[in-house]
Amino acid sequence: MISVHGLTKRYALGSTVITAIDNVSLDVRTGEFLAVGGSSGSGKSTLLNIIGCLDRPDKGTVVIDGQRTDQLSEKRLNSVRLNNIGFIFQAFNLISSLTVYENIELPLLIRKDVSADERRTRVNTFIEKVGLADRRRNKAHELSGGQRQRVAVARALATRPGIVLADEPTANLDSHTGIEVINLMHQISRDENTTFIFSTHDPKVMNRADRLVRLEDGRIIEIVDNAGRDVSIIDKIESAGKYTG
Amino acid sequence: MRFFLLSLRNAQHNRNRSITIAMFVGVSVLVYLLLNAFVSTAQNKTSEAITDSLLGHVQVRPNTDDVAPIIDMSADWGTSNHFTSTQVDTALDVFDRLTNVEATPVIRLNMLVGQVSNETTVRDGGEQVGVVAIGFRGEIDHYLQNLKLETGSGLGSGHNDEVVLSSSTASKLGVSPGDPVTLSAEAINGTVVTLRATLVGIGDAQSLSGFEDNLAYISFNVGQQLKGLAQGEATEVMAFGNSIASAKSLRGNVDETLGDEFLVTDWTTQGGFISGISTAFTGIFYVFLLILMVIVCILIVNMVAGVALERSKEIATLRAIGYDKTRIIMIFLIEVLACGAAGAIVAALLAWLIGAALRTHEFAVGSPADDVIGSTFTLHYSPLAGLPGTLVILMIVGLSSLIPSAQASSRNPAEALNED
Ligand SMILES: Nc1ncnc2c1ncn2[C@@H]1O[C@H](COP(=O)(O)OP(=O)(O)OP(=O)(O)O)[C@@H](O)[C@H]1O
Ligand SMILES: [Mg+2]
Repeated sequence: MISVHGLTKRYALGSTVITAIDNVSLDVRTGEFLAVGGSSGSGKSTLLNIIGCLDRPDKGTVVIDGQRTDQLSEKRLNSVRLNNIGFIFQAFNLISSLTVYENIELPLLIRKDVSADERRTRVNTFIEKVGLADRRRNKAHELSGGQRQRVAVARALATRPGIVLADEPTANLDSHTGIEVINLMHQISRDENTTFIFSTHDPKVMNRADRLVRLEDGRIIEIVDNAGRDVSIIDKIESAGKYTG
Repeated sequence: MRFFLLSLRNAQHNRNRSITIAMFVGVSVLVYLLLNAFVSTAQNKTSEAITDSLLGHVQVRPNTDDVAPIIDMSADWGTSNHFTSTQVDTALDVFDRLTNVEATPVIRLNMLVGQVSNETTVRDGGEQVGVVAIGFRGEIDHYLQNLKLETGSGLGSGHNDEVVLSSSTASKLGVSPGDPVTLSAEAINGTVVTLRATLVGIGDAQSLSGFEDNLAYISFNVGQQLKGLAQGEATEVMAFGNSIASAKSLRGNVDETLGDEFLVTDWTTQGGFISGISTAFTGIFYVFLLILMVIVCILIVNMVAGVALERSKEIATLRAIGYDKTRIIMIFLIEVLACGAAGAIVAALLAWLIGAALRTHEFAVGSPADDVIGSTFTLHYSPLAGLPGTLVILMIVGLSSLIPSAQASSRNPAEALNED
């Protein structure tokens, strides 16, 4: 359960102040598969980064599973990221010098509560889950975009986090592959009861979400339950969601 | 700790950069190891020459107000300070009780050496050479380590009054072993004592030639007569311990036992300008090394800063998945140290090979260093001697990597992830 209240984040750019997130309040159920939509610059990444404890808000509170995270020390934030949160990025962000196996293993290497045996089991389980068992020894540059993102999904999930944050996970993929990756995420979300929050411009991707939160200029302008069911809304979002530069 | 895998993988991945780091560290270590071997060989040679031919390891003298280092610029051994025979025995007793220590009473004095004409009278106006002389009793022959005999023998050849001269002094006088020479010096009562002695040996100074041109060794009884001392009296007691390195502890040991009337010193403080010259050469070496290390530091800082910039997204990703700053700094540190250590190991092997190849090679030494360390020089390479310095170099390399990696790990990951 994630509870965000009155969240505000501002950036000072010279003399002007940009309000990237403006008084956002939102509750996310455990196990929910939530999409965040909105045009470019609407504040999607900023919101995800704050929920993901990568950044701090200027105002407002974030409560993750009963724990307030907006005021935590850097050290504690670090441990929340390590233990409770998984990240998936638009550009995959795999470590180029490591193999598929080692990339997935990476967050587990620093988890003191995960034994070497457990680590091996988990990495193998998730490699299977994302269908890359035969590519475990390959380096990232030897994989296709879709394969890379599946490695990233496995890396994010191997620590068994309660929450996975994915900032435009399909934006660098063709739409068919993008849907495949979203379906994979959706499947795992159901299997593991993991909360997924992902941002996207792609209506077909939004289609898979339990709920769609639409941002504009840092504010929530619309929350749509079962987004995929209402095709007209998706169309509306699709036109609004075009990149404006 | 297994996350260091990432350091090694990164080092493998950026092979060219890793090789560059390894090469720079390796070259520095190689230069350091070889220069260090040269400098310490030279210093050892000088130190041993100083102790063997002039000072012994530990010296015991009367404790008076006008104490100066035994070897100073004037090399004036004309002092009238001396020990009574009881004092000499007291000092010798202390050394006797220690194992592996050789001690001897010594008489140091300034003297003139002169030719003796065929008519067996002292030739007025004949060639005379001023020297400083050391009189030994017993079988102490350490001085022959440095004054390599060319002809004749050392002290104790059986003649009553003996003198050993350096080849340059002997050739100035035109004398050879077996020839009589006159020795004159000022005794403690102010009178000039002249006596006849036999030149028993001529030697060539290996090191300290500048000094040893004016140095003579005489038998103890000759010293006593010239100095006007009674039986058993001496100006000093000199001792040789296990090694020059143990001289300080030997000095401390003896100093504790002997009373206030005895001044106990060791060669490290008595070498005067000769030790000074060798220290100066060592100093130049360290300054050179310092400059080398500054260059290596700048290089490593720049390289790691470049790597950190290149990997800013990777660092942000690691931060996002829960790696803290310290771990990220460690990943860089281990990567740099692994490359550096690889370079250092190759350098150590090379230095060892070069050291082994040069073991028998005699380097010619130019002026003015030849006056101190001798005209030829053979390198003694000891593989372990350079280990502490090599570790220091690696430590400096590691520290240099900390600055840019700490900077990189402190960036806000959200911002770094946002970059293209
Ligand atoms: N580090 C920053 N410094 C200054 N302004 C920033 C910073 N990060 C974001 N912003 C601004 O905050 C606003 C929201 O940015 P954000 O990246 O959250 O948008 P977004 O919805 O993710 O856009 P996109 O779809 O293009 O990724 C933008 O106007 C952006 O310029
Ligand atoms: Mg964004």
